[in-house]
Amino acid sequence: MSTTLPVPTAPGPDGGGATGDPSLDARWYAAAVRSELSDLPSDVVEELAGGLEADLADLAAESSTPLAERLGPPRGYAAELRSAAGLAPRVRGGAGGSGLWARATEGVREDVEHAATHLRAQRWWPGAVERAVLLRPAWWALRGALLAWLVVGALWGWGQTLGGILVVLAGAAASVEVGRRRPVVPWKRSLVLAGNVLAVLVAPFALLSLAQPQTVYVDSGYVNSGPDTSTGVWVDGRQVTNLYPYDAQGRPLTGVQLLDDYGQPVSTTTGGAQDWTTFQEPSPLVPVVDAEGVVRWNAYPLQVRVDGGAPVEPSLPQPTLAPLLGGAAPTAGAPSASATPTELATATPSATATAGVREPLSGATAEAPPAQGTLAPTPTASVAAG
Amino acid sequence: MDATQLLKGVLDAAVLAVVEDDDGYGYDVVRRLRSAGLEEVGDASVYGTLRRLYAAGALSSYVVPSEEGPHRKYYGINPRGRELLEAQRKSWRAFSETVDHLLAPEENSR
Repeated sequence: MSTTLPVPTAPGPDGGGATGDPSLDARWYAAAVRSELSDLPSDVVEELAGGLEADLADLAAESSTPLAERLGPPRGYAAELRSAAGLAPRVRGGAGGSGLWARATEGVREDVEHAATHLRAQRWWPGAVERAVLLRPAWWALRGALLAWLVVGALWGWGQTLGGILVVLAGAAASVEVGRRRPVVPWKRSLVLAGNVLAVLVAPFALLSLAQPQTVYVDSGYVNSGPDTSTGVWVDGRQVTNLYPYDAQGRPLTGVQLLDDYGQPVSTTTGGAQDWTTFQEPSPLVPVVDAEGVVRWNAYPLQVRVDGGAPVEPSLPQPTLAPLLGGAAPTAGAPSASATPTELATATPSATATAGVREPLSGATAEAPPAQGTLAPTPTASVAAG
Repeated sequence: MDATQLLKGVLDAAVLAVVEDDDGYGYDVVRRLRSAGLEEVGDASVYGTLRRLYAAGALSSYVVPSEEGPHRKYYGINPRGRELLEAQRKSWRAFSETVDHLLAPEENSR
């Protein structure tokens, strides 16, 4: 007897017919017809459908119109074949299983077949199929990428990593290869079908994940929980708590009021505990009050209160500095800026308002024009603050 | 009148007639029938008829392998088929004469 070439197992009514490839269309149609004859003994099927592929391929090669449109649905074709061959029509629901399920799927199958035949008869159908076939490799790649994305996400989480992107690309390439080879073995076809379904299901989630702003891991936590650099005085990333002015002669000054280039007081602290230490201790730094009764946190160096006692001058980082060269010599007649700590020994709180007022500094500090004309004099007395 | 209904009765004879001189495979037979004027003949009907005639022993069959495509199944008439064809020719002639006679109104009415 004759031998048959391997034909694809019968796909669904719409499972791969009308692909624009005549031989493929013929194979699909022949396979569908054979599946309609599946209730017959195999030798009878062979007698009926033997050579059908070749006959259909001839027919398909004649025009680009899909076979299903010219010949009608495979089911009708198979019925005509049986009847012309003198065989009884197929008994529905008998061979394919019994019960409600078989009858229900039979109905759905018929509906799908009807719809497919109707679609194929449309004028736009061949063009649409042609474009769909052209786009098929794109779907293969997308399908592979989606499945790989799913695997990567399930195994290593959903962040974007180089490794994950590589796996997604590899998945796309592998899927294209699978699509190119067109698996024929039934279980492989089932696997591919399952992959396609899964990819379609995954697609919306992948889209959502792309649309959402990416999770950024660039130490946003660190920035947020780190120190607030918007207040205080910072040098080289560290907060400064006190400033120690020295005059042109290199001698330490006291009661030096500092303004920035906006005319605002330069304050290292305003007495809050958080400005001083992370341990929530009260700040030992003490401001002075000027002649108008305003608390000045920008008169340096700030005095320090130790163990609840009277505020004292802080210990200096350097006792003296080397004098500056050129133009730094004190002008004759001008008051010296060298107020020594002993001169400015702290007064008692009772002396606050009437304590001797120091002269505004001049000479060494007058190199840049002052941001304000004059400032209210600062009393040497400190107030109990903090 | 629906020609396909008429065709059913004579399809066996028609198929036997087109393979009488030359063997042919399924679609080849369909084409010969169509070029002879039987435009409405259905592919599956012809194939089914070929199979039935083969099963009835009126046709012989052989497979011709093809290098680039599926194999072709050729059918050829055999002595049993020639007998059958001859019998069908006779019955068709008798039948068509009868029907011709029946359907010729002028001659019949006089």
